[in-house]
Amino acid sequence: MDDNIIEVRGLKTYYYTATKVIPAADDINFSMKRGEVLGIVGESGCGKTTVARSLVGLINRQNTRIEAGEILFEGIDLAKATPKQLEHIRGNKISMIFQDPFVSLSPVYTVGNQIAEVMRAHSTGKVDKKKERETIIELMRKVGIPSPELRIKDYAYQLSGGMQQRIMIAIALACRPDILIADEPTTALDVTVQAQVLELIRNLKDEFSMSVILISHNLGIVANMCDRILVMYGGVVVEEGSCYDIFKNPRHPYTRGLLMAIPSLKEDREELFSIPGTVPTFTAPVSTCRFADRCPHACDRCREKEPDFVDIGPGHRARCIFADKEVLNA
Amino acid sequence: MLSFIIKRVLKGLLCVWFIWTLVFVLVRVTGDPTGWMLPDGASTAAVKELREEMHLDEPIIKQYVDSFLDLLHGDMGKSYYYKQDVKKIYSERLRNTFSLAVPSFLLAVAMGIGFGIIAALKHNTFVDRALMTITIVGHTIPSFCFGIILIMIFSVTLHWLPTFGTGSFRHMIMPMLTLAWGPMSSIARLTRGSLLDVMTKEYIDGARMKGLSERKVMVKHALRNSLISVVTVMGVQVGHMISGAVVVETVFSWPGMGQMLVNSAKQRDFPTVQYGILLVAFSVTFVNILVDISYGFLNPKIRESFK
Repeated sequence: MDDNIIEVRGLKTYYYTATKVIPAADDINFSMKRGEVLGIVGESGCGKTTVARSLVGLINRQNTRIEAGEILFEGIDLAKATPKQLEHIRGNKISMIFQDPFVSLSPVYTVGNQIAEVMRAHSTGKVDKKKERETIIELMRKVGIPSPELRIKDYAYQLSGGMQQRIMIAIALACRPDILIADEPTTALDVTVQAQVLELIRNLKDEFSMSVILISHNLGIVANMCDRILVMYGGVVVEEGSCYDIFKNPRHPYTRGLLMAIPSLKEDREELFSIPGTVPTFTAPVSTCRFADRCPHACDRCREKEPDFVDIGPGHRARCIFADKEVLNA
Repeated sequence: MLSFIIKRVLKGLLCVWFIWTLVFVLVRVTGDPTGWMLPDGASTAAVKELREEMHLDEPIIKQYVDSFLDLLHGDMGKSYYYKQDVKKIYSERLRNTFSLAVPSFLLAVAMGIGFGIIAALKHNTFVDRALMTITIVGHTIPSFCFGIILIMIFSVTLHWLPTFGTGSFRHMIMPMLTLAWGPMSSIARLTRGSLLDVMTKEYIDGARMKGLSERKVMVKHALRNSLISVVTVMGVQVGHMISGAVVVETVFSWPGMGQMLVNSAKQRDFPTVQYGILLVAFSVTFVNILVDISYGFLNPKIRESFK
């Protein structure tokens, strides 16, 4: 498996509150190849952002801990990396863009300055100001910012949401990273801008030959872009497979629920489908199927212990005792 | 930027003029200085004569206009008590006050910001709680009380420091601490709060995600952004410090203008009070203009509104 660019094995990231231990990400396993796009989908609070942040050590150390597991990247285990090692990787080898670009950009520095910052952090030797400026302008042009030689002096609040996110992407790509983590990159944007930004990420992915981890609660976005998909629920991956597997042959009741909740023009439905109930908060250790309380097929066996993955096909598996049975299709 | 500064200075002058007017009226409301200037049982004729000499018998509007015109010519009047030009009386006093207030203010700012940063970095630890306890004490104990406590400890019990007087650095330590303590506490608490707030902002993680060192994230991003609110408080604190100087100078018999102001007010020495307040109003306004301008440097959004 040497061609894997990153490998996550048994990752557990737990939150500690005064009284409880919350398994925000529990036993996460996945790997990625160069150029691959991995989608992580799930409702708010399912742990998808926790997984992404664990990869780069961007977790609040006062109440959050990586409990177990390995994150293997270029021969180091990021789960146990020193601050120095993480600094070297962040923005350089692994970059991240956030949900709301406006609050992710500092309000007091020009966008040009903020792009320069990441380049300076990872370059050795003296900075040639003129050359640096050219590189920044070139980068801004690449992410689709019109007249970058003017915008380089702008502050975040002077740009639209779409332009701000493009700046974030420019910052993320400035050092040509191997992996781009996009955490709900379009959620805060207007619908018309969403498609443009996604298209941009897709094009740049090829140009920079990066791998992308795309986190979203929007299955439509994920379907368009991803090679492989992890569906998360309550801190665990409930189903993983290729984009085709997930959309054409979903085996976990939760995945099916998510797919049914997508409004369709083809079908004439009176009401939109929604999964009954809300996402519960679990305390570790969990000894039941996490979806049992909302699952139409749940039986006593589901509440005895947390189900293991059931293999369905190559690279396709689901965490449901009925995953390989046709009973679900009824 | 220049038009903003000019506008701000004009507004400041208007404010100073308003304060001067207010004080002009207020001191005259308190009564008549001739009472103490003449011996007991002085004849009504003598009182009348003195009042005429001091122009206090004229209608207040005329007195006001005359004084104002004098003010514009740089003539601040003569002290009733000291019988000399008030500018001369204050010149040395002003130096004394500044030589106490400026180092105290710098101390308050340096310690306040320093403590604030330490408390924020060590949030929820013993250090944080200890610092916050110290600053709540500074916040709540009035400075005359704090000054007396210091005297009790360092002069009366330990005999380390002189209780009053000027001349050496040792004379300055206690007055400086007393004066700086309150503002230092406010600045420290605000720096801490503002820094903790900024640290939760997404752009801090954004900065971390660029691979910046934690120190750089703190200094370049967190501190810079939290300073905006700290600077506001610094402007307010200058006002507090000047009112604090009145108390501190009295407690430590420091021959500054605060002490002078209090005595003059007691003696109904109108020109002296008016000039003293004018100086205070002037310095507070000046500092606040500086604060407003520094906003522009700290916050680009405000800078744009300067145009």
